[in-house]
Amino acid sequence: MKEQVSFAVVPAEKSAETQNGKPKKKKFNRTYLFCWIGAGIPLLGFLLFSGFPLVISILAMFSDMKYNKIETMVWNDFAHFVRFFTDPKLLQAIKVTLILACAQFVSLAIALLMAAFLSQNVKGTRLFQTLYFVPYICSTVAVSIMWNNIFGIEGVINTILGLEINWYNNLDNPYTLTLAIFISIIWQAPGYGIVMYCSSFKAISPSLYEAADLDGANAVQKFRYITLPGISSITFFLLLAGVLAGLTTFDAAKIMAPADWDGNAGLNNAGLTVMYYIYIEGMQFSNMGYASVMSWMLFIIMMIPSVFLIRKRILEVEDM
Amino acid sequence: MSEVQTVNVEVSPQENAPEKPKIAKKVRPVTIVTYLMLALYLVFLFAPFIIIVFTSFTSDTELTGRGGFKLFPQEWSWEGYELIFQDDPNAVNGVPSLLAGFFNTMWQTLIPTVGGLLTSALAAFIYSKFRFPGRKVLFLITVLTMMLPLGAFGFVSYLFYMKLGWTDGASGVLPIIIPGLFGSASMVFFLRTYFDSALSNEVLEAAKLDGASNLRVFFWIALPLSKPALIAQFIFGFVGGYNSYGGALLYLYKNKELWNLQLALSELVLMLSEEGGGYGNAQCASALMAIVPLLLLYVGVQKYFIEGINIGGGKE
Repeated sequence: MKEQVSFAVVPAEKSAETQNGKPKKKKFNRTYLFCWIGAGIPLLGFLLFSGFPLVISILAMFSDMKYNKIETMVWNDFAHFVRFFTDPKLLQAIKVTLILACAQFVSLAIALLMAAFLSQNVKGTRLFQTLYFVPYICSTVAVSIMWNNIFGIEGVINTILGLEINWYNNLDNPYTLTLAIFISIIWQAPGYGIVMYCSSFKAISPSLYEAADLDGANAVQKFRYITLPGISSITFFLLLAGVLAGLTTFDAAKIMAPADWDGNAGLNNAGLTVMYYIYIEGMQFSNMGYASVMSWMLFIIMMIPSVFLIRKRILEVEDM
Repeated sequence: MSEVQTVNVEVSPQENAPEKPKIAKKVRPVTIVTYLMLALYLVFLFAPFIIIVFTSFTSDTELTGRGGFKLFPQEWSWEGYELIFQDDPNAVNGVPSLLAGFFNTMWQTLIPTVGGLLTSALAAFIYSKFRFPGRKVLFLITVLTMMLPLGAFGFVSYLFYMKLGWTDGASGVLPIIIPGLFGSASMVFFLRTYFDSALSNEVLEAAKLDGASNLRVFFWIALPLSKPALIAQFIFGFVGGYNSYGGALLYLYKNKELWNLQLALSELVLMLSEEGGGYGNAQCASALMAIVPLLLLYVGVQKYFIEGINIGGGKE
C-alpha cells in the first residue's frame, strides 16, 4: 500500500496539476478514464451476466412461465414456495447432496494422511505428488464413465467381492448408487489437498521440531503443538472450498445416475443432488420458476461457507 | 518427519551395540509403512485407469460373454476404438464426435480463458498500481461479488440468456464465451495481491518516464513480469474449460456441431449404453480419449500445476 505512492503515474500528474492549469486536466482525466474502464470491465461483466440473471430468477420464483419464456410470466400465488416446503423429492436431494458433500471431508482426511506420509523424507516426493494429482485434472464426466464400468454388474468390484449386485439399480438398497458416486469423488478430489498440505508441511520450520526434540517432546506433542497450528489455516481453506464444491455436485450425479422421463435420478432418487434437481426441473420440465426457488435456497446455504472462505483470504492478504 | 526422528532416537542406541549399523538403518519400520501406504494409494488411484485401458481393448462379444471381470483380454481388439472413431453414431459430417468435440473445446476454452485473463489482469494492475477516485469502493464491490456463491445460479441463468436470444442455434455458444471475457472477481483479487508483491514500482516508473502509455506499460512490462501467476491462472482456467460440462449441456445440447468434448463424450456413452447395454470397450475407450490429451499436457507442464497451486491459483 505504501509503496504504491512512489509509482509514477499519479504523483507525476499531481505535480502537473499544481504546475499549470489546462493540460493537466486533460491528462488527468485520461488516466482516470483508463482506470475506470479497466477496473470496471469485471464489474460490468458481473452486472450483466450475474446481476440480470439474479433479478430474473427472483421474478421467476413468483411466476409461472410457458417454455421458460420470461415474456409469459404470470403471478402464481407462491405456488413454487408451497411446493418448496412440501417437496419430499427436494428433501431427498438435500440428503443426497449432504452425503456427497461428506465425501469432501473424507478427501481432506486422505489428503492430510498422504501428505503426512509424503513429508517423511521419502525419495521421489515430487513424483508421488505429481502422480497423486492426476485424478484431480481428469474430467468428472470421463471419471464417472470409468467408475460406471468398474461398478458394472460384471465389473471389477463385483468380481473381487464376489457380489452380483446392480450398484446403480439396487432394489435392496438404492443407496449403493450414492456410495458409487461417493467413492468416485473420494478418488478424484484429494490431489489438490495433497499438494497444498505438502507445501504447508514444508513451510513449517524444521528448527521448531529440533527445539521440541531438545525439550523432549514426543511425536504426539510435536504434532499437536507444531504441525497442527502450521496446517490449520490450509485445512480451513480446503474444508470450505471442499464443502462449496460438494454442495454443487452435478457432473458426477448426472453421468452416474441419468434421469428417466419422470425426472428420477436412480431408484429412490439416490443419485439426485440439489444441483441436479435444479437442472431436471428447469430444463427437463421447463419449470425455471421452481428451479429458481431451489437455486436461491442453495445460494443462501452456500453463502455461509463462502463468506468465511473469502473473508479469510482477504484477511490473509491484509491489504484492501 | 516427526515420527522418523523419534524412531531415529530409539534405533541409534541399538545401532551402536551390535555391529550392523547399516541393516539397522534400512529396516526402519516407519519408512516401510510409509512407502507401503504411498504405493497402496498409487494403486488405488491408477488401478481404475489400468482396468479401463484393458477393457477398452477387449471385444464386445468377449466382454458380454465372459461372465465376470478379467483384467486381460483373451484377444486384443481395436473394436472399441473403431466404433468411436469410424462408426461413431454421433459423427458430425463424418468427423467423429469426440474429435469434433475436442476442437470445439479448444476454441470455446481458449477464447474466454485468455480474454478473461487479460481483462482480469488489467483490472488487477490498475487496482494495484494506480490511485484514482472510487478505487476503494470499486475494489470493495469486486471483493463482495467474489463472496457470492454464484455457482448456485448456473442453471437458472438460462432464463436470462434465453431472453437475449443466446440459446437459439449457433448463438448457444455465446453464454459459454462472452461472460468469461469480462474476467472474474476472484482472478482480479488473486492477481492484484500478486502484482502488489511482485511488480516493483521502480520498473513501472522507469517505463513511464520513457513516455510509455498506461496500456503499453501493462502489456510490455506488467504482463511479462507476472508470468508465473498468469500461467497458473491460465492453466487452471484451461483445465476447468476443458473439463466443463454443465454449460455445454445447457446451451449447446441442441447443436451437435458445437458440442464440446465432455458433452460429446457423455452423449456418445449414453447412446452406447442405451443400445442394448453393451459396448463397454467403446465406453472405456471414449473416456480414455477424453482424458489423454489433458494428461499429455499435464506431463509436459506439471511443474506449473504444482507451482500454480503453491502460489494460490486454481481454486475459486
